Amino acid sequence: MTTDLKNALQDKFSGLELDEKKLRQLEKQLLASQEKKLREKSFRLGVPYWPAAAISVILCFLVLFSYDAYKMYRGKMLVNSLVSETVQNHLKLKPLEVKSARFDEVLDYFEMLEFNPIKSSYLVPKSGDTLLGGRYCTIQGADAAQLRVVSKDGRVSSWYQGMLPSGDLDLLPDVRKGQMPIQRSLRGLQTKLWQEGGVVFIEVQGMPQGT
Amino acid sequence: MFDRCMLNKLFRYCRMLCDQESDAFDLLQNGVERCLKSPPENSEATYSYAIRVIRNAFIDEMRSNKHRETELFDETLHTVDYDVAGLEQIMINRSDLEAIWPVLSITEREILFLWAVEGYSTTEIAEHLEKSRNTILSIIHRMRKRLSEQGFIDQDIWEVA
Repeated sequence: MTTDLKNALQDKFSGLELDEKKLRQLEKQLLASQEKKLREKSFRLGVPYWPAAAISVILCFLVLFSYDAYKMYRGKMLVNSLVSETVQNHLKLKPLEVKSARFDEVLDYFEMLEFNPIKSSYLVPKSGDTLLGGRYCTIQGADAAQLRVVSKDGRVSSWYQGMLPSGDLDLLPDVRKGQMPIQRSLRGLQTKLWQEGGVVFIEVQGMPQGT
Repeated sequence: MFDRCMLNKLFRYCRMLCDQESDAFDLLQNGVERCLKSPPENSEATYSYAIRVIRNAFIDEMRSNKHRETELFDETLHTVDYDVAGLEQIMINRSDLEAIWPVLSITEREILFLWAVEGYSTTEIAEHLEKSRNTILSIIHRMRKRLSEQGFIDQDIWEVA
């Protein structure tokens, strides 16, 4: 049958295909070549392929584990330091600089702070609590605010709020994210620590009067 | 880089160069190995790169075997004013093509294969064979003349209609 040259050539070649056996042979060759390249790359690093992979996984795990352990250690040291500082300060019962039972009036007093003192969503006066006033203090060397509150049973508590470096602040639970404050006891006093709105809060609960 | 479709495409190219299927498969394996060792910079140009590698591998094999066909790789330049579109109008029997094919040079086979099967333009064929477009047209002209003189085809068949 006569056809044009182009069609004749297409007919001659279009039906030519490798059989399954030869295709698999070539695919095996391709795979072997890729594996060889991978091994050669690993050997250039001076380490065999599979041990290098295992070592990498172990190293990553150690780094991550070490970082978490370091973070925990740092957090513990910070909490201990904050508790010690604020409990010591609370026990001194230094004179208040502003006396008022109104929170807004007391918070407005703190104009010289490098942050805006806020009302905590977690630390709210209970029924029978009375705000006595506030004073400037320091937390970790930075200016902070101390509020003094007395409960119905005569328990005097100090409410501190201050600034920490962001790296340190992240070590504390954030109540706005639903995390619970850290609780510690020192010298018979209960303390709670947390962060909220970029500010560190510390509550030192006093003993009832007469104890 | 080499899925099954590409492997078959390259096999057809190898089969065009080699008379025997086993030689074509060996050439393909050799070409693939060379491509893997030195892959193309542009992954989209895999086919054109691969057939160039295969062609070079084929030439190396021919020269190392001192095959007489290597002489046919050397063409003298003749500027011929021919329009390759004339190939489109050539009518031929399949059996005549089978008879002609073994006596074509490798370059002639490549020109016909790339033009008819892969849809290359003469410019693209020239680029692949690293020759000028005029040389390609000249090769086609001399191919037609030789086949006619050897009695494989009637000159009339090759005349542009």
